Order: sequence, then C-alpha cells, then structure tokens
Amino acid sequence: MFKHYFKTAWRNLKADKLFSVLNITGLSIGIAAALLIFIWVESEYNYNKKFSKHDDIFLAENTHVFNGQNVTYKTTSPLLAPEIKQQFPQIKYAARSVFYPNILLSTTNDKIYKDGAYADADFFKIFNLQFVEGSAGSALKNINDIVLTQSTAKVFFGNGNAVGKTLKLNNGVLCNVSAVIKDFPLTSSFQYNWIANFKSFGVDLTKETWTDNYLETYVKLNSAKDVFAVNQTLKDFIVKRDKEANAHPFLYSIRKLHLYSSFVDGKVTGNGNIKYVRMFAVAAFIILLIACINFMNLSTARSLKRSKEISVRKVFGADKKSLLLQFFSEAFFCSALATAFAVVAVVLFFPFFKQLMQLSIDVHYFTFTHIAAVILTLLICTLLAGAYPALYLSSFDPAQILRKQHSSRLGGGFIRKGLVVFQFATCIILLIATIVIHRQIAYTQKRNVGFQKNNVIYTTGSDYLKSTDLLKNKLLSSGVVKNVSFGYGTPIGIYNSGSGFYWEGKDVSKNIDIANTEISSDYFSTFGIQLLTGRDFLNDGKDSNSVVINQALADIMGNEGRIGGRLYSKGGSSNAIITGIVKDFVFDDMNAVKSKPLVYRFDKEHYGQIFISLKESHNISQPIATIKKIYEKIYPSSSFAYKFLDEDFKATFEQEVLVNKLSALFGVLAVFVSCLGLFGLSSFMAEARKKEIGIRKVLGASVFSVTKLLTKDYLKLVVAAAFVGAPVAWMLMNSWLNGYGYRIHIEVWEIATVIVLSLLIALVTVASQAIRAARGNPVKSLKTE
Amino acid sequence: MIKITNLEKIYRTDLVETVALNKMSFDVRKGEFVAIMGPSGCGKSTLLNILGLLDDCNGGSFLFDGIEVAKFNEQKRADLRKKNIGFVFQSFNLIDELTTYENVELPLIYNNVKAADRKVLVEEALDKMQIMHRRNHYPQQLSGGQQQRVAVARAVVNNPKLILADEPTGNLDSHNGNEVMDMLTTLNGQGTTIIMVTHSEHDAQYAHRIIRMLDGEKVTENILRELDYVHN
Repeated sequence: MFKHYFKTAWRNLKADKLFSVLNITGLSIGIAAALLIFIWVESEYNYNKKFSKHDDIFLAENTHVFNGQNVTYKTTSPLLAPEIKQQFPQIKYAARSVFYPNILLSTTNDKIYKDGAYADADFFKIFNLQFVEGSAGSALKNINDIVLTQSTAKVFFGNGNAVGKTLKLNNGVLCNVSAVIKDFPLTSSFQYNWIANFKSFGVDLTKETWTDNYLETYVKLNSAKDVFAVNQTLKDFIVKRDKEANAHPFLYSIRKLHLYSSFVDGKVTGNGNIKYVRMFAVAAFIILLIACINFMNLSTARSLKRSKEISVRKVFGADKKSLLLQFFSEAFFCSALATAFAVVAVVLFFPFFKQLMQLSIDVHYFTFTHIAAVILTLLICTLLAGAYPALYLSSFDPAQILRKQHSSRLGGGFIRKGLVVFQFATCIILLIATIVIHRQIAYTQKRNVGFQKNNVIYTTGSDYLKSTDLLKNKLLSSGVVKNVSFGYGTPIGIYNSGSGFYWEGKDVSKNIDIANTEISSDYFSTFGIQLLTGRDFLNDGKDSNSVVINQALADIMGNEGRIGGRLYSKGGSSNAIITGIVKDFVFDDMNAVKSKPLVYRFDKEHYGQIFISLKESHNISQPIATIKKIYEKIYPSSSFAYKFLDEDFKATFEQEVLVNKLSALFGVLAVFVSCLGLFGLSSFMAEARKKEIGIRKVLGASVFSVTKLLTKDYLKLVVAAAFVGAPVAWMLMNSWLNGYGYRIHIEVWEIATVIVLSLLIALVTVASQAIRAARGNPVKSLKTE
Repeated sequence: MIKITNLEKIYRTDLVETVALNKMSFDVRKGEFVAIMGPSGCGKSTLLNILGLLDDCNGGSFLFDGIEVAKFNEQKRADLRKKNIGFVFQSFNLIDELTTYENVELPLIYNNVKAADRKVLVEEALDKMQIMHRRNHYPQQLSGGQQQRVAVARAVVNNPKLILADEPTGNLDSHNGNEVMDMLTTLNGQGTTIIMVTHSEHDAQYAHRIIRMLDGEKVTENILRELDYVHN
C-alpha cells in the first residue's frame, strides 16, 4: 500500500515540477532553519552539563538589599567557601574562584595574554575536568602551583611534558606547572586557560569582610536533594555573622546558570539567555510553519487537477482513511526530500551561520539527538503540511466531481486566503522588528554618552605598572598621543560597586549601591569627561584621601555632595574629601537614562590599565606602533596588548545586534518562502481562471485589465496582512523598547515602509504570472476548456 | 439482486429545489443486463450514482442483495462498493499518473489483496481485455478504445457482482464502441450483472431489458430478451 502511495507521490512530484520545486525549496529552507536553531538551542541547554554529576554542583549567589530592592550578584565574599564547607555536612566541596582576564603568562621565550582564575584546590574535585598530565589530587598542592589547559600548555611547551616546568604569571610570581587539563568544554560558563592556587592570590582572611563580594563560590553537594535544606539555613548565614552585611546567599544550580541568569527582586525571572533561545525557537517554528503553509495552499490549490484522481480512487474502493494515509504519505515524501536537502544545507551553511551569529558551538552532526531531531522535524513538517490538504482532498464527493467532470470553482479559498494573510502578517512583523531594532541600536550608539569613545585605546593586560611617570612622559612627547592616564576600568568597564559608603546625614537604613574604581590624574581629560566643579586629582601624592564623584552621587548626598564634602567607608577605614564633581555619563548600562552614583578614588600605586587618547590620524597603525615601541622598551618583559574603547562600546550591544541579525535573517527567509508560495498560488489560480480570462478577453478585456483583475486579489491579502501584522508588530516592539530607558519611538513611516515594501514584493511575485495569463490566446483556453 | 422502491433524490440550493429522482422503483435480477435510457437531465446518472453507492438518496428503499443500503454511512457504502461493484465511465476516468497495469491494480489494492495475487488477477484482466501489451503505458499514451478496455479491465479485476456503466461508448468511434459492448456482453454472459446508462439505441440492444426515464421517473420498461438462467 505504502509503496503505491510513494510511487504516486513521486509521479505527482515529477508531473508538476513547479509545485514540487516551490514546495521542496520552501520546506528545505524551513527545515534547515529549524535544524540550525535546534543545534544552537541544544548547545544552550547543554551548558555546564559536560561536568559529571553537574546536578550536584552549585554556585553560591548573594541577594543584597538596596533601598528595599533585592539585587542578586554572582559574587560572594572569600570568607564564604571555607565557612560553609565547615558548617554544612551536606556540602562535600567548596571552592573560591577569582576570574582574571587577559593575564600575561610568560617564559623566557614566549609570552601570551590569557584569561584564567585563582581557585581553591577543591575546584578540581567539584568540576570533574579531564587531566592530561598530573591529577586532581596534586593539581594545586603548593602555593605557586598552576594548572594549564592543554592548548595553553602547547603554546609554551609544545607537545612535550609541561608538568614540572615553570612560567611567570602576570610578570611576577614564578609558577610551577603541576597539571595539564583538557580545554574547558565550549558549553562551560567559564573558559579558563590557567588556574593558579588561590593561596597565591594574597587574600588575608583575617582582613576580609562579609561585604567584600568579589569572587565566585562553587559548591558540590553530597546530593542535589539537599539544596533546599542548605538554602533554608544559608539565607541568614551571613547576617548572623555580620548584621550590616545585608547579604543573603543561596545555592543556584550550574545547569541553570547560563539560561536563567536574570534575577529581579531576588527571584529568578526566567530571563537570561533563555529569552533568546525562546526567540530563536519561535522564529524557526514560524519559518517552518510558513513553508508548511505553502505546501497546504499549493496542495489545495492543485485540487482541481487531482479531483478526478481522488474521485476514481473513491469509486474503486478508497475510503477516507486510505486517502488520508495517501496524502499524508505524499506530505511525508515531500518533507523527506526537503529534509534531505535541508540536512545538506545545514552542514554546508552552519559555519556561515555560526560566524553570522557569533556562536561558539562545537558540532558533531551525527549524534542520536540530532538524528532524533531530524526525524521529529520531518514528522512535525508532515503533520503541519499534510493535515489540512489530506482532510480537504479526501473529503471530495466523487459523485459530484464525476458528474460535472471538473469543478471550475476552487474550494478552500477562505482558509487559503487566511493562511496567506498569516504568512504576510508574519513577514511584516519580522520586517518591522528588524527596522525598529536596527534604529534602536543606531540611536543608542550615536547618543552622547558623556565621554569620548573614539581614538581611545587601553591596555588589556593587568600588570601592576611601575614607572608610570616615565611611560606617560615618553608617550606624550611621542607626538601621537593626546592624553595618558592609569587606573582600573574604562568608563565602559567599571565593575566594582558596593554599599559601604557613608556621609553626614545619610539615612543608614537605606543601602545605596555605589560604583567605584581607582584612577590616576588626567583620567577625565583622557576620556573627555567634563569636570563640573572642583579639580582633577593631582599627581603630587597629596590626593590619597581625595575622591571625585559624579553629579548623580552629589545629588544623593545632598548637602555633603559638594567640594569639601566627606565620604567615609564602612568602619571608618577611609575618610575622603570630595575634590571634584564630574558631569554624569553613561557607564554601566548604555541604554540607561540616568547615571548611577559613582566614586573615583585616587590610587597612585595599583594601576592595572593604561588609557591613551590618540591624536587624530589617518593611519591608526602608525601611532599604535610608536606606542608599542615605547611601552615594550620600558616594560621589556611585557607585550603591548590593547583594545579600542569604541569596540567595547559596540560590544555592549552584542545581544541587540544578535537579535537584529536574527530578525533580518528570518525576515528575509520568511519573505522569500512566502513569495514562493504566492508565486505558486498565483500560477495555479491563473491556470484555474483560464476560461474566465478567455471569455473576458473575447468580450474585450485588455491585458492590463486582466492583469489587474488577477493581481488585485493578492494585494488585498497583503493589505489584510498589514492590518493584522502592523498592530501586532507595534505592540511587540513597543514592549521590547520598554525594556530600554534610552529608546526610540516607533514611527509611522517605519510601518508604512514595510507595508509598501511587502505590497511591492507581492506585486512583483504575482504580476509575472498574471501578465502571462492575460497575454494568453483566448481561443486556445476556451477550446481546451 | 437489486430492488429499489420509491427512490427519491432531490437537489436543493437556496433558490431552487430540483427533483432528480421521483419515487423510482424497479428491480434487477442477478445476471441481468439492464440499459437505462432517457434524455439529458432525466436523472440517469443520479440513479447510477445511487446504485453505485456513490451518492445517497432522500427517500425510498434500496436493497442490494437483500440488504437495505439506503441509509448506509459513507464507510459502509465504501466497503460494500469496493467488494461488489465495478464502474465504467464515458470519459474512462483513468488516473493519468498511473500506468495501465497500476490503474487496473487499484481496486485490488483497496481490497487488501496480496501483491502476488494482484499480479495474477491484473494480468488475467489485461489478457481478457487484450491490452496486456500496453501494460506499462500511461493513459495519455493510449487511444480512446484502449483506454476504455483498461477501464473495463479495472472494473472487472475484482470480479464484482455488478458493473455500472455510464455511457461506456460515448467517447468512442463505432468500431471501438462495438468492441466494448462485446466485452460487456461477454462479462454478462459469464454471470456479471450489468446496469448501463446510454443514449445509444444501438448499445441498448445488447441488454435484456431497457428502462426509459423522463424527469426522474420510469416511463417504460421493454424486455428485449429473456435471461437465459438465473445465476445463483
């Protein structure tokens, strides 16, 4: 029976090449899109699942209360790990880990900047990493031990043994390579290239407090079931030890870390990367649905051609079930061919997709999950595409069809029109979304953020710099540099914040989160940050107790927010005088309307970065080469690694850009697949109305009037789609924009442009078929009828 | 074999009600060859569709082999039809995408006949209709006469009790038309009951009996020759 069905399906495909090409192309695109997204979604869901017993591994997060609002941070105090390991029998291992980006690793011959971390030895017991050399037991036994990943070890020691050899970390301590591990899986939340002993990080636990939250605490429980009980007790664990700490830690599964990372008011929101996973998945399903709609519409439109066949089958014994089976078999056959093409397309285009979406995924195509996904997509596609045509075609009344031979009217019109409206409404939504997202990104990128983004570079390594005056003088006299300053964090990269600041008249019941960092003099002029009142730090050493604050903090501080006002840190360990107030600039969230409060402290000793604003130059490589030469002469053991500030700025829009690319890609695909369907439909309809066109022409209709007649029905559908799609797009995009403080408003012209564009595309698609039909010889069409 | 009593069929639209069959009654014995004649629109094809269980009636009784089938649902009608009735149409109604062999095989597939048995039965039918040499040709590669032979082969392959023929020679020249009529007569001689709708007085002469219709009613009934014997 199935052999017969497949044979018929194959012959039908061969007999109607236009139908077949349109359907298979559309379905292939839909299925390929679905499979590409599946691979990505799968990798997102697999984050941190390559570690064995990942269910038992947790990150301790901290909920702080600021102004009655709960804010959750992933960082904790260094006191937490040793303390909870001791107090909770359910905790098997606990390890601290401090992430250090771009640290210089060097041997006599090689130097390279790599991300890494300082961690406790328990880290290797929590995360079951694969050891190439050494073992978890011996990994970080001695204070100066370091563990390298295989690819890092290869840079220094080739394929030979690395254990027992030494390298310099951050131009300081000589570390002993105690083990080599395989590189972290790409689907790991952290990508360390080296792990040094936490003991060498220089933490003095006697001086640490529960309010200094700057590192991550990972925990492995005896059983994941214990997490509820542990969290119950953990909630007040810190407050019991320090009433003012105001932090409430809890264990959060590493499985959820990647997808569900967003907390609002202390509760997980279900946002984070899952938002994008859902968005991608919905987009893929929509493309698949649009392709399936083509199949439905073209199949039912073709019913004229197949009505005789269906009737004959019914007359000779086919019941509804066997006809349903036949049409599902045809949908399956078509989908299977499309799936085969889609699989080839996925393999060919995945690298392009990966690059376009900037995804870091390592794909093994032929896994059980992937094969299951292909089969599942095929079945979904068969059901989606096949159900309506099967029900529609199998319900034909053979007596009626055989009596009238061919019915000249085509049934199912209302549903078919509804489906075309759905397709084009989706296209309109995606295109409006593309334009709105693009404009929002451009709008924010062009905003005056209050500091200079262009022509500013900074070093990415965080060597503790000495001879800064010498470097500064040499750079300034090089002729290529406008300004030089030092410190931690560009205006885009200020990550420290805390509530431990006090002033006269502060309401102590309110915790205010204040960003803070250390800088040298000339920082403000390097970044073009406007000083409203007071002065910059002076380089004469007298400013060790001075701070510069921003206007936002000055406003919060009230009377004390003035030059000469005083700012204390918790416990009175520091007592600073405000010497300057800078104009607010955007530094944390580039989409924020208001600036967060910020304190700049002067620190002449501990600089991690050099900030350089360059003079205008046509050829940027020239001044960079000059700077590199000067830098490497003064710091011969370092290499000059730098980044452009404007690149960092652009990088803050990564997620928006990704969504924009996605909406553009899927918008174009949706339009293309919809147009394939519209083309097929208009061609079938022109065929079905051949006799009518013939009669009209005999009665004097011109080619133009016939073309208009055949075209206007489709344009009406696109207009209907605009009525459906535009309000939906407006609502969706407005709700998306509501997430941004600094935002655009959707303009009527954006919606109008998309509608006109859709109409034009639809017109071009159907006009060719309409003109062909209108120019046909009426005698011929009337004779064949 | 067939007994219809006061059979009614009415087509209704919003504006018009058309009586296609008006209290029609007659019976057909097993092995009989009955021709139904009448002008266009008199209800011949409607009657044939009801007799072939393709359409339902609005009133009256329809006994098929003693079973009342007038109220059968679509599934039951389809079951009864595929086991007992073969059709021959004026316009052949072969499926263009299937070869001669596959067109003839179709009723056997829907009757769940095993592949090996199907092969024997199809070849036998093609042989009988002398169209075996065209077994791999598609309908559009055959002449009208050849297409109707295939259609007759398809109608008989399942060895049905009843063949319903709707103007089987209407699209054929006289030579091919006579050949088809000879085939139907031969089949009838072998015991198959045949009901044929026709406009052709010549073709009607092949039947045992002619029923003439007008405006949905039986007007006359002529017996041309007696049934030799009643098949059991």
